[in-house]
Amino acid sequence: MGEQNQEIKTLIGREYKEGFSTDIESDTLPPGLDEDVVRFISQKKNEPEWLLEHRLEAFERWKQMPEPDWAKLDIEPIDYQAISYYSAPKRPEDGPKSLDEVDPRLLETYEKLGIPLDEQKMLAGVTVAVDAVFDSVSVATTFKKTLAEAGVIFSPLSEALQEHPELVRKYLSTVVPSGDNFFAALNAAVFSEGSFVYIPKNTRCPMELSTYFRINAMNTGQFERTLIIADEGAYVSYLEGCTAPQRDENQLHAAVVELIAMKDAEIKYSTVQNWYPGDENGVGGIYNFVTKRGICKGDNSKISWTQVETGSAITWKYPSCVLQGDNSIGEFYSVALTNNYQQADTGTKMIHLGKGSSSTIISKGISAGKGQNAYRGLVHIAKSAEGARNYSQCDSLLLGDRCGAHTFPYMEIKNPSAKVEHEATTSKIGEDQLFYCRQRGLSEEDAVSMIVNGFCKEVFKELPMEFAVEAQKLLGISLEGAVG
Amino acid sequence: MTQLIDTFVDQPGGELNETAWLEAARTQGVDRFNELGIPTQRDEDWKYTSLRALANKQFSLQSNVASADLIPAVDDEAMHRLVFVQGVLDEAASTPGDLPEGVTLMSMREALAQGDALQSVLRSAMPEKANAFAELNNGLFRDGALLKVDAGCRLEKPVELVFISSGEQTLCMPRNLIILEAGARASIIERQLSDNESTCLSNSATEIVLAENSRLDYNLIQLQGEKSTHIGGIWVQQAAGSHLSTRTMTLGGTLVRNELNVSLNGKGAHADCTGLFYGRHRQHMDNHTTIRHAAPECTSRELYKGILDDRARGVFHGRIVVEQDAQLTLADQQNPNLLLSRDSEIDTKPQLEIYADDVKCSHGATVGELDKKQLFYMQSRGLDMNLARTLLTYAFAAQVVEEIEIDSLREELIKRIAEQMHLSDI
Repeated sequence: MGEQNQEIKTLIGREYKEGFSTDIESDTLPPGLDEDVVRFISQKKNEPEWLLEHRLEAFERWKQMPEPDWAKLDIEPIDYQAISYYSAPKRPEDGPKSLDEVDPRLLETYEKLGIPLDEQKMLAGVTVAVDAVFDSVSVATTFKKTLAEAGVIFSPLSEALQEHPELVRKYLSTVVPSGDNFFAALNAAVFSEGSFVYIPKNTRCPMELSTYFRINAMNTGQFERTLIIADEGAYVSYLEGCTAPQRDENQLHAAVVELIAMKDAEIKYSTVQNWYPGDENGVGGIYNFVTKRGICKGDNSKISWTQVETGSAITWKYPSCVLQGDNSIGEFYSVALTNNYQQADTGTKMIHLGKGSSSTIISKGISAGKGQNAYRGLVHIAKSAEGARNYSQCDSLLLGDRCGAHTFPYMEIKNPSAKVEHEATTSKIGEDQLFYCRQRGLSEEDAVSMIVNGFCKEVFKELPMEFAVEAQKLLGISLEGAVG
Repeated sequence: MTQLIDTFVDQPGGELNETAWLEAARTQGVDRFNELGIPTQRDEDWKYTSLRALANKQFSLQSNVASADLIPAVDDEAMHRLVFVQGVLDEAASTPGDLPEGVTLMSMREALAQGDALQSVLRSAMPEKANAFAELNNGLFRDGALLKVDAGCRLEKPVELVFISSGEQTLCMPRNLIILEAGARASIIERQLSDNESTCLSNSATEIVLAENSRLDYNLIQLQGEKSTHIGGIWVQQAAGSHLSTRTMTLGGTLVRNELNVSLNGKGAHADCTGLFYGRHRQHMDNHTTIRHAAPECTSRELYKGILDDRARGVFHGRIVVEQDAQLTLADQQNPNLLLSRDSEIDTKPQLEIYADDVKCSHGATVGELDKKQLFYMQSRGLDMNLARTLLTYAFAAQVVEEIEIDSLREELIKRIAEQMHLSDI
């Protein structure tokens, strides 16, 4: 193990590869948050009156809420007045119509990340529409036509507000109410941009939808708001991938994602998150405080969350499912990796209300360096959820003797016909496992890589193909060497 | 300003004529209780157990004599028995018997009157800042049991501590201290009793200190009437090579909270903690355990089984902490639960907090009703549905009960559970 530990150490010491920032002039608000800022954002977005009221109400609530401190996280106090709440690339009025019109420096940024828009289109023959969010305003929207033909609405939230105000108004904040929690309230007050997806009845979305988020301007927290609605019998797979340039100051990210699945509909939401985790001394890095929740409104509907969390200094994220429809299904697949001083407190909530609703939770936590990794989840079976079923499995892998892995599952069962199982294990890579691989001719490093990848396999296989590749790559980069 | 202690407890004062250090410790306990207040459900540790029923009541420390028929009729020769009524030793009812050399068993009040020997040990197993009820006990306890087994000594017969509460809104607060020196061995039965009409609150605190290679078998049997509330805490400090087994059997009480805190401080210590909670009617049973692995090569096993019928509610909170130095830890925790009725409920929180890498820790929790296939099989063998259900439920419970090492106690509980399930009537 000595040699391997050395290897891990040298590779763990590597710098964040994707750290750079593109120099684009931003139309940025000075730091600070008050009612005027909320009004400014709303006005800038040309929003209807009801939304402004909604924002102001959320802001009022937020002011009265205490910051949550129950998570197993060590958070430096955040000065909410030191954050700038709006930043948009210049020239928003004459936004680009095609890739050619996109600021070449922006394209260059994407290229550095290895995810140029062009390549996305061609990857494995799958057509992917990318609504790239660069800071807060969408600058490139592709494949809109194909989607429009299918009747699918996929646009920035601000655009949807102009074009489909009734849809947005009907569903916005219905899954995550503005007073839901501290960060959701903050988001409801100051959200600047996001994606809106509507899949009409009995429509299978013709392509995987994808948004790449980036945090770019210094000190601008990103407050994204995503709303996805799958009407009766519809299907959509949505990919969210994140990378951020290297910064020394902590940046706050408090996004809200709402999913609504009607009768027989299915939404698959996949995330690969690779924001800047801070350096090896725990300096800098993104604070990722996200509220994600989906509701299976109709019978036989399904919502599936898959996440690969390798970045951010602090992750506070619990993608949840409210299983309201009978026989509805909720799934949560997660790989969370913490290295150096990274901290993650992540998990899910499965709220079973409908008869025969079922949920599966597979969570894999990997801790290395001085990382702290916690799974926190709730399975709630209401009295009405006759015959509900849950299976949860939380496994933790520890690499190194200064890290921590924690499991905090909550189970509240009010119906005797429910079947709920929870299992959790914590271990390190076994000497016998390594020995076996070694005697089959694998190098120590390959063996570790194979074992870690095997550890995460159940989650990776849930990712769309092109994402699975990226996820494996990210895991390798983040684990530096242990995975090869 | 009126303090919580004044509204919660009737006449907490009283002439005790105690030494200065004990008085200071009591004042500190009362102050902390006032400061902490009665926990609410906003407190994470009390998320699923509401104490609202206690909040606006006043409890009386006045002791009155309990009916003698509560005292279990077991062979006097088989055990060293101390009986406490309202938390105070009842000498007439106690039968300590002949104790082997090197074993001290006496009432706490007597021990404290003998001098300052307890100053350094009392409160030594409890954390510096304990919860509100432990602090209340620190402040107001009147009596309890002290058991000390000298190095290498061995108690052949079990020690039985019987705590009887009675009366309306009475408060009884036994304080027990158990010290096993190196290589000592003992087994203890703590029996919590009250009559069916009693609306008492018993708030017990037991500190256990296990020295190197000592071995303790602790059986907590909760058989209080269904109007009584019990909040009890056990704190255990284990040195290297010591072995603890606890059997927590909760069958009685209207609201029962059993806290068990075990700290494995020495290399190779082992804790084996099992429990059964069988709630019926409107009973609320909460088992709250923390096992802290603070030294390398320690092992722990936890198995708590819950059976909930009628409108009963069960809570299990199991926390395993493995500290950074506790390499080569082996910890396992299981909490299977059986819900027998539509109105029963279970809330379970099995938690792992791990800071060391070379460990094997696992936990599991399951909730369900009886297996339909098993029921079908038994029916196909000619058993009626009712009997099949009862037999399966009984078998579920028996697994834990059968691990009780004291034969007479095991048999008594098996009989009692069978009776509660009406197994003999079928």
